[in-house]
Amino acid sequence: MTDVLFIQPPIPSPSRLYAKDHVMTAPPIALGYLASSIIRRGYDADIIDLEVQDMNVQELREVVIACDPGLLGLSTTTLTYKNALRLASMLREAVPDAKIVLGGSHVTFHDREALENEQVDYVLRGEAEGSIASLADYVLQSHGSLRDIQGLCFRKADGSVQRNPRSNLLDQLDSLPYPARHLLPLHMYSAPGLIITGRGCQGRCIFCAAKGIAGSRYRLRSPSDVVEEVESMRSAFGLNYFYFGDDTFTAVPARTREICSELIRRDLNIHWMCETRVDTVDKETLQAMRDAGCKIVQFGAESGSQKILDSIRKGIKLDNLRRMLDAALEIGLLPTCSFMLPHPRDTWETLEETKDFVSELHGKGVRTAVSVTTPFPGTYLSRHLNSLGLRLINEDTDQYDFSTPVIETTNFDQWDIREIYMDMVLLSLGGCPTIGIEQKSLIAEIE
Amino acid sequence: MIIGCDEMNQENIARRKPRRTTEIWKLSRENNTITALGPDGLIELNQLGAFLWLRFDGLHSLSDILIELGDLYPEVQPAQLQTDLSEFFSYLRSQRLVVSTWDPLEGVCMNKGRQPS
Ligand code: B12
Ligand code: SF4
Repeated sequence: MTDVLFIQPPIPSPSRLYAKDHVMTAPPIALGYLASSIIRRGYDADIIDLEVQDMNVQELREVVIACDPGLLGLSTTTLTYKNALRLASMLREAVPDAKIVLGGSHVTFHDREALENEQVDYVLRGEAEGSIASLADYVLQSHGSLRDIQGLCFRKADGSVQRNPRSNLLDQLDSLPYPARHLLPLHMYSAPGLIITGRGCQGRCIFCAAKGIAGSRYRLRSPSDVVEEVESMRSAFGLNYFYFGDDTFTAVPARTREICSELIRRDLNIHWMCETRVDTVDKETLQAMRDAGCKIVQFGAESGSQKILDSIRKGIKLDNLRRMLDAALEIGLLPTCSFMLPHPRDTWETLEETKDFVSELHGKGVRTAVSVTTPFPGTYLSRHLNSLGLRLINEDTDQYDFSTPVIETTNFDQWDIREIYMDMVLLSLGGCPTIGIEQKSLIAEIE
Repeated sequence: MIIGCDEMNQENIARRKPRRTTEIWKLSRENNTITALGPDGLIELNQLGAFLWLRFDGLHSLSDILIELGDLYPEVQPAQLQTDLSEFFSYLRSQRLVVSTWDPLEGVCMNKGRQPS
């Protein structure tokens, strides 16, 4: 018997069947954090990750019946939302006494809609480490009141929806227990060493959901706590390649350098990759990162047109990006740049600029990846479709996979978008269609 | 119609709704052809191939597609159309560009796997 069972639903697209060999997979660290909170509260927890654990529905059913959980937690992104609902239906039937809660980046913004599905008992919006433990108290011990659980949405007896205010964002991230990685099948991921050193982003990029989920203020763990976790991951699981998955690992460069010094001081001898923003990094920091084992640095470039970058509020200058990429290459890092298209104001001309920029980067040895602009919930883009001249043409979230056009812009219909996306994919990677593929092949090169 | 699932009977097969496995493809509006990037590389499809590709979206069944094909090519014998469709489908399948049916939940968890820890 397990008190709380968390499940990461599988990605619904068939591309996944073959992408498996190429695309980067990483453990659902959010579920690791939630499981740790549950364990800290004195309950049992387990995690099933259907993204990597091959299990058919019948096998899953048997496993869940054997676990007999009191509370089932399903994580959602927009892409996996419908699979979470499908799983919830199946689980309701398999273990009718278990309560089912959904959380994650999709339902944080679509809680009411999620609760229209009778197989969903609760939705927890936003960060949930504190609330999930209180919900477990309520469900497993009949302790406390649903109304006091921050971020919780539930149906009241009269059928109306009660929506508690979202929890305050955690300020003291150091106080959180490390994610329960022992519950995750780490050997099944291409990037098992995912670690999050901070939450939130001060960027205002119109296509990004990060700040809606994690807040528009950087909340950073202390360097010693971060390195302590790295060390424990190394000793407990034998990991030596790490993926700092923060939105902006270099949010505060001085703190990034401190992490690097600490990694060197402890002589951990690890390799790692991270994501950064060109306006929060400098040569000194890049050098410190290289010295501390960093191999790959990913920059969000998004477009090769300054005019477009300004229109999407990316807040970066192309010249600055060029300078930082040159610096990274000179230092011996492998920079990658991610692009998105089409942006609302993109024209054939601005896309030509992007293509030229991508070719220029390839000439220097920078790798690139591209995805189709998608209006995820919680983004400026999704809230301002009309005023940005965008038409929603596909509401099937099973297809919100960053490759399928789901909006048309003033200048491009879906057939144009397919064409420019494909051309850019071919230009970018000569057959490797996502940043995941790119990063995975890079990981393979390094290891 | 033989589409690689020999154990299935004809009726079941006709009800199947094939689904392409890649969303990286483009349609040439000049000559109605399609270029797709699959797991094994690039592939070009002629007009008829493009017509079928657009319908391999997991929503159209093979029997519905056959009816549409019949409307499009009334001069061709239905048996011939069926063979053509079957051969094209098998070809795409061999290129890993299409699956004969797709359930977003079941389909991804096809192989026997490990139990949770
Ligand atoms: C690292 C990361 C990845 C990694 C690892 C993913 C993984 N296995 O966890 C990789 C590279 C593999 C990845 C892949 C993708 N990602 Co991603 N990813 C992130 C990133 C940068 C950090 C996520 C993270 O771990 N944060 C730290 C944890 C602690 O926070 P959290 O995930 O928000 O979880 C908290 C709450 O949301 C909540 N919660 C989460 N799950 C649950 C479940 C329950 C039951 C409860 C109660 C609460 C709850 O509690 C958690 C703890 O407080 C976020 C950006 C961001 N800032 O969120 C994007 C982000 C989540 N990804 C995004 C996308 C689009 C994708 C892809 C679809 C891209 C693609 N086509 O390849 C894929 C598919 C992922 C999927 N399974 O659907 C979008 C999601 C937008 C949306 N609405 O769907 C985000 C928000 C990026 C963005 N800027 O828009 N991703
Ligand atoms: S794209 Fe990056 S920099 Fe922009 S808001 Fe999102 S996380 Fe921040």
